[in-house]
This record gives sequence, C-alpha cells and structure tokens, in this order.
Amino acid sequence: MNYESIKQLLCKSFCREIGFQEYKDGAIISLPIYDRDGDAYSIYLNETSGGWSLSDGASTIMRLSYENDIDALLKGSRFELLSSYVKEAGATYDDGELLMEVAADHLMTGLFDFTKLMSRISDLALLKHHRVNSNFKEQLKEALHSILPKHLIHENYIVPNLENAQDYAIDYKIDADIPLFIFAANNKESVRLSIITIQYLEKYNVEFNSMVILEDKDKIPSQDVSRLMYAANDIIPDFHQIEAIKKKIKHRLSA
Amino acid sequence: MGKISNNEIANLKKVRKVLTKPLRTKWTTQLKVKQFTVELMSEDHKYHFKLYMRQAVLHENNFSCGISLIEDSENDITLARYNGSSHVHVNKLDGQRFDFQCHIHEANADCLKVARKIEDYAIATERYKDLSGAIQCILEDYNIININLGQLISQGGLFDEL
Repeated sequence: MNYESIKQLLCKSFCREIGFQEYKDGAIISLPIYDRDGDAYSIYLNETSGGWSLSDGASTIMRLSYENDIDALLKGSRFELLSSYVKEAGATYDDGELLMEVAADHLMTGLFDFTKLMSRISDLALLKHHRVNSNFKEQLKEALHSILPKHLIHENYIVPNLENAQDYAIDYKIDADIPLFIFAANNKESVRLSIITIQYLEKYNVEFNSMVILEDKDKIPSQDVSRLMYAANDIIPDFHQIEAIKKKIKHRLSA
Repeated sequence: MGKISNNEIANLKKVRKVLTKPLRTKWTTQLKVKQFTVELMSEDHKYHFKLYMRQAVLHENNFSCGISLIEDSENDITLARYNGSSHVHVNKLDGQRFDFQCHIHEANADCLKVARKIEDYAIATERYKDLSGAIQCILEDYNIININLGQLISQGGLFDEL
C-alpha cells in the first residue's frame, strides 16, 4: 500500500472542495465542512497589516434566526456558551458578527478554528431542550450551594407521611423553622407543575414557604406567570439574579 | 404531523395561503441582519405557516427567504428556503454542489434518510439574483395570494436601504 498516495488523494480532494470567490473587499472561503442543511460556512477574508481578518458576515446568527427567536435563543446559559466558544477560539463577537484576527502564517489553522466556531454556534439551536434544562438545574444547584451550607439543602425532596407525595417532589427543600420549598422552572409545563405541587401541599396543610426560580420569565406565557404569582410566596424572574435569590432565601430563613 | 411524506409536502406547497392578519409588520435590523417575518394560513385555516426574509447588512448577496409549516414552537418544518449566492451548497442526496450560486432548498422526505435537515436538498436557480427576486419567486411558487412586493415596499420600506 502506498500511503503517500492516500495523502496526495486527500490533498487533491480537499483542495477541490474548498469554496473560493473573490469579492470587492477580499475573498470568501469555505472549507468542506457543512451546516446541517448542507450549506457550507462562508468566511469573509481580508488582508490586514499583520495577517488576515476573518468574519462570518453575521451569517451564523442569520441562519439561526430562520427557525429561532434570536432574542430568546441567545439568552442566559446559551449566550454564556456562545461567549465561551468565542473566547476559546480567540475570536470576538460584535453585535451578531463573528470576527477573528489571524497571523499571516496561521491562515489554515485560523480557517479551521473559525469554521469550528461557526459550527458550534450553529448547534446552539440544538440545546433548546434537554441540555439547557440540565444546564439550568445544574447552575441553580451550584448557586444554592454557594449561598447555603450543604446540610441545609435537600434535593428532590419528598414530603414524608403525605399521600402520593412521590408525585409532588420538591426540587429543593431548605431547612428552616418553616421549611422553604424551592421549585426550578424553565418552561410553562414546569411552572404549572410547581403551581399544582404548591396547591396540593397547601390542601394537605403542609407548612412551608415557597419560592419558584424561573430561568427566564419572558419565556413563560403571561397567564402562567399570573397564576404563579398567586400560588408562590416568592418568584425569581431570572435565575442569574443570584443576589436576589440570596436575599429572598435569607429573608425566609430568618422569618 | 410527525413524519411528513412528499405528497403532503407537495400539497402544502400548492395550498392557497393568505395572511393571518393585515400586513403591518415592519422590517427590522437586529444583529446586522435585516429581517421580516409574517404568519400565513391556508384559506381553510387548516395549516399555519411562517414566511421569513433575511438579509445580512454586510453583504447583500447573503439573503434568504423561507417558508415553514408551523407545527408548534419547537417543531416547525421548513418547506423551502430561497438562498442567495453567498455560500457553497452540497446535496447529501445526490452529491450535487453549487458554488456561490443562488439556490432553492426544498423539503424532501428522502433527505431525512441521509441528512439532518428535511430541506437539505437544493437546486441551483437563475430565476432570481437578489432578495426581491427571491421573494417574488416564493410568493408565486407557494401560492401566497394576498401579499405582494408592492405591499412589502410600502409597509416596510424594505428596499429603500438595499
């Protein structure tokens, strides 16, 4: 087997599949790496004094906007992920546009790194469901452990001696004279489950204070938020408001 | 609807579509992208659709005009997307490649056997060269009967800045 010929074959086919077009200010280049709909990632290349400037021309965000509400998508944990991807790539994010400066002798690796960045950001749309839910729960757990001693926090708490209590699990019970039950909610279904659980516990005269921490109030239908306001003692509209969570928990624990 | 067949896709393409409400939407620019979205429905109110138009502020050949069937907020099905000439496209179904040519993605149930998106299959086109041409084509091809380019211009001032 002549392995050298494989290398030559790869080099030729790779070069053949590179997209290239000159435009008035520079060139558009794409590597043979494709988005989920078969479109390649175009990189706008311009020469600078020290090398090259790469831009996605804001096309990554534009493509995401076809199927997603960009305001809702690029919020909270997903925007944090975007920012971390950008930072990791050594790029910048300028109002929807991805940019990267590459030294003259690093164009090839720069193009790969930039394509990878565009691909990772494109895949943020896939994180709408399970991953974000899991991220939200994990981040909330982390936040609670930064606020309270571990021994006071009981995750997935089942109220003892209560009929069907396993169907009304509480995300977090915080020990106090009057226990504080914390519910984490990031969609209308979890908000409704929180309301049902709170009302069920009240029906059986369980003594508790309730706090519902929302990932993002703007993503919850206003009717559900109104119902929640009647049901819960405290609501945190955005779980990133760590200081507000801290203040309200301390207030409830000292009451 | 779950899995969709090519017959259903063809039916969704030809069904007459109207605006769900009078056209008052304005073009907006957000994150360096001009954008415009309206909701449509079939005349019998059975199906709802989203018609969207996008154009990057930085490069005017980077545009797209698409139509999706609205199932629920998480599961819209892209029926078609009329793209500009800003990028390369390769079909997974037949390996056809288009280098910086305007192309039309169309939903094709066979795509899902080999690709991740139902609209992976595209055909190159010379029917349009710019966004206004793409909009005109999608309005005709998808039987959208009570909206036209003139309305878009007067409502949104779209082409003032293009």
